[in-house]
Amino acid sequence: MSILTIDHVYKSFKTVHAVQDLSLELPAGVIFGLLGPNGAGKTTTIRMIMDIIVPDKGKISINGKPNNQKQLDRVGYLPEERGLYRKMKVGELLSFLAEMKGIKPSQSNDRIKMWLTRFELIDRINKKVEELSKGMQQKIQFIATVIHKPKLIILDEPFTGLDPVNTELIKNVMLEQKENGATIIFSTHLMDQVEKLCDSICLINEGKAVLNGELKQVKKNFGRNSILMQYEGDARFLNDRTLVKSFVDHDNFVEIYPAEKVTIKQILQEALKEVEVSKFEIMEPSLHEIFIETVTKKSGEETSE
Amino acid sequence: MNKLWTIFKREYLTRVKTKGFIIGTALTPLFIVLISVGPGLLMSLKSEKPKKISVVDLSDIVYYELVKTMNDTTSSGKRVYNFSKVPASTDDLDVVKNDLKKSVEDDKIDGYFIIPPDTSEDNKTQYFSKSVCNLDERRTFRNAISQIITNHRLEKSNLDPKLIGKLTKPIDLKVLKISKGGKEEEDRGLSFIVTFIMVMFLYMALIMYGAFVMRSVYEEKLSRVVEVIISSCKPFQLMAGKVLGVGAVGLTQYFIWAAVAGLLTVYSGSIIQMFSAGTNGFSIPTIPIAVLIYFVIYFVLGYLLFATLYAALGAMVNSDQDAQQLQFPVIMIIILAFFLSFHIIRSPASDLSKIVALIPFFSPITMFTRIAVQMPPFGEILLSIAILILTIIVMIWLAGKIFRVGILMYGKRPTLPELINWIKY
Repeated sequence: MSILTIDHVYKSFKTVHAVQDLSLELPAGVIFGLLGPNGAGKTTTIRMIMDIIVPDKGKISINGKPNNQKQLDRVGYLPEERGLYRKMKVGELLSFLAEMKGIKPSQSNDRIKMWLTRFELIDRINKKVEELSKGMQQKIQFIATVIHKPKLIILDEPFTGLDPVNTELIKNVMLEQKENGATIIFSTHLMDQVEKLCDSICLINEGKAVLNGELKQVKKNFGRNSILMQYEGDARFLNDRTLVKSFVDHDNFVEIYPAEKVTIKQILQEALKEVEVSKFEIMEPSLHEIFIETVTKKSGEETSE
Repeated sequence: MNKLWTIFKREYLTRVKTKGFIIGTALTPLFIVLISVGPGLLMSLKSEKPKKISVVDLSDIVYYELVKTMNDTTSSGKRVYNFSKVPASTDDLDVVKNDLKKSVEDDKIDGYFIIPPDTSEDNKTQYFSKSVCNLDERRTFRNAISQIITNHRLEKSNLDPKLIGKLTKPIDLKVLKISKGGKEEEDRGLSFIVTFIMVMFLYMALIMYGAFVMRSVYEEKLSRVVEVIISSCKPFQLMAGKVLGVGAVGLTQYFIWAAVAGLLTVYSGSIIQMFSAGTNGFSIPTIPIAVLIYFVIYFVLGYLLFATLYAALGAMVNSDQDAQQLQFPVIMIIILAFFLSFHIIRSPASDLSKIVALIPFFSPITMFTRIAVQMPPFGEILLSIAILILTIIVMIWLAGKIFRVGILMYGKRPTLPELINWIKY
């Protein structure tokens, strides 16, 4: 059974259609990337999952049940806009936030110490939040998200503002949570993180899901591989628009995007005629490319309509 | 319900543990007592410095009597008023006056009287001084001189001095307050002060704790903590937890004050005697239990009404300036109620008093003032409580709606039509 189901959900604010007819089915135990340009409706979707705002139409269910408080107690949520009680002590704050998820202080105590130790913050347990650096506060907030052992973890832009060391730390915790059976949804702009972490993705643009499914499948469906070629000589064929749609000239190699209905074999033949090829490699499309292509294409269609 | 308790607990504990709470608890009663009785006390303080006053007595009646009657002494036993007679006649009066004026300017004397020869006929005397603002002193001078003149007139009409004494003896007005059950209690104006202090406490509570709720809401909103919190509970639970948590802090503070006041009255009668030495027969007026109960009722109801209003306002805030601007009309309402209570203390049974004691945003202060001054019919109290509770229910409903939407709305402050949209939403 899917852990999260979003069923034909709509939400508008005044004249802005933030989410239109969004449907998602999330199997348990995966890391799921929610992608999309700024203002696409990611945060609105997440807030609707958390029952912070109510959809105009459609249903959201967690474990097959409506997303009420009882279900949401098993969900961990890291909002995009971080914020903690600045005047509270770290330990008391975490204890309070755990209690808000239904974990009694007597039960959360050991877990808080365990997490603080792991995040190298145990010596700050009696410090006030405002005495901590931004990065430390982020880590505290991340602990608060997972302190109640949630089955579903929703992270809105979890890596913004973190240094590489802490990014790695959070990434490892995410993978570990997945191994322990949790499902993770996270939204981000960083495509390489998605490539490394995600099993499935959904790309939202202007409130609609434009790509949806397993990462491998999405890449396959996108269909357009690019070619990486190292060569010597004058590659005039690159400017032939019937063969090459576009290319990017890196210093010691060139990235080639074939025109439609042109096979890779044709490109190779053409290249061999003109230049000395030292390396010729077929590349999977990067998510970055898929993202930009899909989003700009969609917007282009909209404006030409 | 559990979530509400968790929020309530946090709100209560983090507040009670602060230095601000401890200092506020210690200093507020001092402050209130000071501004209630301070000005009166300062005015009544006797001027300790002896004064030199010259008297130009052209009538020859006043001077010796003045020296005799105005014989107040300072704590070290010296006379306060040292009079000296300045010989003068109607002819050289202007010269003498100029000399005296100069003496006053040079601080050789504090002031001087000019008593015209026909003062007992046309009732006119003059007093010149640099400082003429002491109303108490003015009254003393006027009384003393008019007493002297009156006596002079009476003597001149050949009446027996003994008879005069008998005829002009002032009466002693004793003021007694009749309270429930026909009990009579002597009132020396202290019951006014006690009523005033209690109203003052109510007034401060509504402004102070309401502002705490508002601040607590908008700080959470502006620091973005609120999103985590309302992903774990209903916005209404958050609002209720805050209102009740801050309210409990208020009750705790009042309980501490009441306990301290109680202990003081029970165990340290001697201390009070010490402080009130001189005002013989001073007694702290006892506050009837019924008034105390109504105080608690109107404190709780008034707080609930204003705290929910403040909570809704807090959810609308986007900056500190916003908060101040939004707070202003509410504070005006409370101040208006406070001023109305002055009218009520003077005439508790007037039509205006009766009406304003029923208006919900005033009644926590105005009806309580009526109760403290002169117990109104039970039906009227019940009516005011009923109206108040009904208003609170409507207010909670409205505030809940505004709170739910407002707490996540950032940007500019909502306009009235937008606000109506929030409520309908």
